[in-house]
Amino acid sequence: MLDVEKIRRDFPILSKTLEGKPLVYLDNAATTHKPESVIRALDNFYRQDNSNIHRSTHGLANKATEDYERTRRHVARFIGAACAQEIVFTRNATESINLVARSWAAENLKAGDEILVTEMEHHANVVPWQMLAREKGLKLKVLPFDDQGLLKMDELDSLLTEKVKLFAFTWVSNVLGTVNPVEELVRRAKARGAAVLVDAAQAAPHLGVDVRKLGCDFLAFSAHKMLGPTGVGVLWGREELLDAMPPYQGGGSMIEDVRLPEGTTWNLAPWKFEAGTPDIAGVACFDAALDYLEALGMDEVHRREAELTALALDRLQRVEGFRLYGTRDPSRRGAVISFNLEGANASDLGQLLDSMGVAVRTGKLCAHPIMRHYGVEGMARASFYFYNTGEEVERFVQDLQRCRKILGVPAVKA
Amino acid sequence: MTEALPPKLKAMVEELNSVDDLTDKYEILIEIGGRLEEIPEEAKTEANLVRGCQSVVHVYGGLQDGKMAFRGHADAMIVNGLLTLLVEGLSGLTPREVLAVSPDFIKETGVVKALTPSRVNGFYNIYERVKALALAASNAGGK
Repeated sequence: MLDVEKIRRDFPILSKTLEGKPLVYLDNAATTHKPESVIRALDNFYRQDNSNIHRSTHGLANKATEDYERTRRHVARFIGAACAQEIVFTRNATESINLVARSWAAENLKAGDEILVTEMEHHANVVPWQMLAREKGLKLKVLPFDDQGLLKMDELDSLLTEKVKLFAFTWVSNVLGTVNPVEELVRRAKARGAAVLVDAAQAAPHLGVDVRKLGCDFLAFSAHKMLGPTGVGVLWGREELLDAMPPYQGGGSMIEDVRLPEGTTWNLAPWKFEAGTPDIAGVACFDAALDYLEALGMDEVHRREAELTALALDRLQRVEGFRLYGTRDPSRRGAVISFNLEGANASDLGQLLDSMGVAVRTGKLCAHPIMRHYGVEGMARASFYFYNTGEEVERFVQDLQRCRKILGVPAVKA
Repeated sequence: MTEALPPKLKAMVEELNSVDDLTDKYEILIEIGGRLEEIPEEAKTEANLVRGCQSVVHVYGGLQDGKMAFRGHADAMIVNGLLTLLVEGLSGLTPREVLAVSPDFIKETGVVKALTPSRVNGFYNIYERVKALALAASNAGGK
């Protein structure tokens, strides 16, 4: 059982007020807050260890390199990778996916080949494939979801033809909250010979990840959604795939030897994918974020979030005009609740809640196809993390009731 | 700062400034927006659409007897209130008078924190559209 009061004291920003009211932060799917240990690690890096990595021979550089590579080993352990060489640091999950598109897919897919995505993808797992498809004459296919926000699994096999070379899908939807049956999806795609990329941006912060158990080929996530700093993303790839892939960007530190006018050779994976100076301080302090999550235990994190989600769904159902997008089945959803109130515009809800100290996200949530599916202009989204409390959920729902009253009078002329 | 504002805009801004709490200010904006005259469906065109707003916003206008006449609509109530400040508050002025109004007044009301393009409230984008309409009228010969 997590001691939430104690946990909250670790997060300085949680005691902040918003518009003079205690902040209720329910935008954790966008980014999470950072505990003192992560903030201190970042501060400490610049005070004590700052240097560039992999280049200079002096002591500071060695320490900075060790800080950076220690996090790589830690990430590898955290997600059950075979070795640290399977971990590539990027700027964010989006860049991780773009890396696979521009390197592995650009090298291995040819005109006429197909990529399968789902209808519930974040734009980050749609647009890179569309761009590549346009350039190379590939075809993008889409596995739809039903009105409950669940993937139509019975359509999967007919979509997974032998032309499909890659199945790229999200583990947990950033809008619907759906936790997709990741192992089954991977197994069925692999059985048809497709490579599999899992977008774990909304999964890695909340569920235990074991890439060997998943059986996929690539997995992408961002540090900032799991207590870490912004500017650090992770791409995990199976070692033999990363070894065979060409570099993504050219520049310093990704080379073995540079010759003029040609003849340059590449460094080994993962360093051949990390051109230029990376976010060294960010990577170094991500280590502390992983320590924090491990100390709590990912099972506890998930259990706590499930409790908060269940409470919120129970209370929200009593709000007149509340419309939930996604399944009500708690075993199939994460800590993301996207909704509308009948007759209210989502942006009004977001602004009014903000004025009451409650931070939620509104709009199209980087998922235009999901908005089209439901025929709505936008949604409001409350997303929880383990540091949220039942009292915060109650306040959110009370304030939502207040929004409903405010927006009901006077009625805007249609 | 409100001293320099045209009378109709000034009255609405003073109404907003009469309360401190942001929720109360939004309630006033919603009320102000509720007073705005509805625009015809056929005016909700692509050309009148203000891009970069989270809600669907249409603004248009031109010269009538030498004065600017603006009209508009937003499908979100708070944005509709913000839009009303500009559409109602600046109608009846010459193009040159419209262009002389600084948008800074909105920061003082506290309902918009920064005058930068923001998808959430769209105020800046609506202001830019209103200004462009006044500039076009001015270039076409209006004073």
